[in-house]
Amino acid sequence: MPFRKFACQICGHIFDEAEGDPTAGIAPGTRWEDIPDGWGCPDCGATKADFSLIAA
Amino acid sequence: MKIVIVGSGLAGVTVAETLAKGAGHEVSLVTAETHGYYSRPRLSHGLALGDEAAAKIVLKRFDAFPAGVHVFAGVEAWFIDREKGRLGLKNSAPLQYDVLVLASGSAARIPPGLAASRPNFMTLNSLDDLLTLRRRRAKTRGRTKKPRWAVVGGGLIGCEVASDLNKAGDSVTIFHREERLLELQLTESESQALHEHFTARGVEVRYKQDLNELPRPYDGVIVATGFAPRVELAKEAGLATARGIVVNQYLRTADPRIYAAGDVAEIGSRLYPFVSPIRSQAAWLADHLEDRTQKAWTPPPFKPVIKVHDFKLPTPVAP
Repeated sequence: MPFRKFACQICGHIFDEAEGDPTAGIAPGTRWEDIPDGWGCPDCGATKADFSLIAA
Repeated sequence: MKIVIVGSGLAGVTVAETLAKGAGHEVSLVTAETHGYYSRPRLSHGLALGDEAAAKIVLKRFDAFPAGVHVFAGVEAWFIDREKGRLGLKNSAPLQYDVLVLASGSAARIPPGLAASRPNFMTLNSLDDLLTLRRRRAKTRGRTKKPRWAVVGGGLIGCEVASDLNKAGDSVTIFHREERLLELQLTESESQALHEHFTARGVEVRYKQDLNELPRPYDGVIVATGFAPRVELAKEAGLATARGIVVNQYLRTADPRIYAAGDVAEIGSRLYPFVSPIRSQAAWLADHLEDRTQKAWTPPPFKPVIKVHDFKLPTPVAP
């Protein structure tokens, strides 16, 4: 499955599976489903539930 | 319990939705907004969007709220009758409450020197403001290829707005009162980096601009000089207000039935006008009201982020 991008609906930050969020312990290539529920948007702190998949 | 919430921003909506999941409360949400629930942080990147993308700024229409939340949209809260436990509404019957949550957010702060010019400038504090700006921009682009904007205020919103208009191809000049940009959030070298970023992209920045009249001639002037929490309702009801509505560590005013959350809540002399602490307050308040926690609210660690296009703060060099 190609890497997907998700957009935070609260602040607009784009999470790219290919890049991950290394400072929060999310390695590049981590699948969205494998990101713990406690993870927050690096820009605003919103939760996974606040993100929407960006259609390719 | 009858819970009445004033305000449909991040705080009000998060409290409402969290409570609606729980056991049998009657949750009413009163909001002067009409378009629906949207995220204010996204407004400053909404200037250059196409109409389809701009429509997506509304995250939830008021008729799409969970069944447990009764939304009174386009309705202004008018007065609080603390004795009778009622919230008076304009053009609508008053609402009884067991608990009242004031989450009315903040209005755009207008510098006193510019108050007389109010009809001649725009702010960016609400979705209505954004739509007004977009219409002005569309109209201006009808007669000139490159609209010229003045942005008064070089803080978080001013810089984001300037960046968005610049990225869209417009001409922008920032008028900032202080000597460097984002002086409240950035170090001197970070401000310098931002200044250079803007200069390289053709955004002009003028410092030490304490304006008493609007800069001219521009196709539009946008004033982004801070926020003023909406404390009037609380103040008129005899509740303590300073910059915000004064509450204790349990987000409660001196009235045991009245709480405040979000931009408007002043806790220990501090305001927390950012997504992370507001979400945390709202989740805590829902827990507190349902007796799931005895502990006070504590702010999570957070750091406001500047969302200027293509700009990353220089990382500090390791010693």
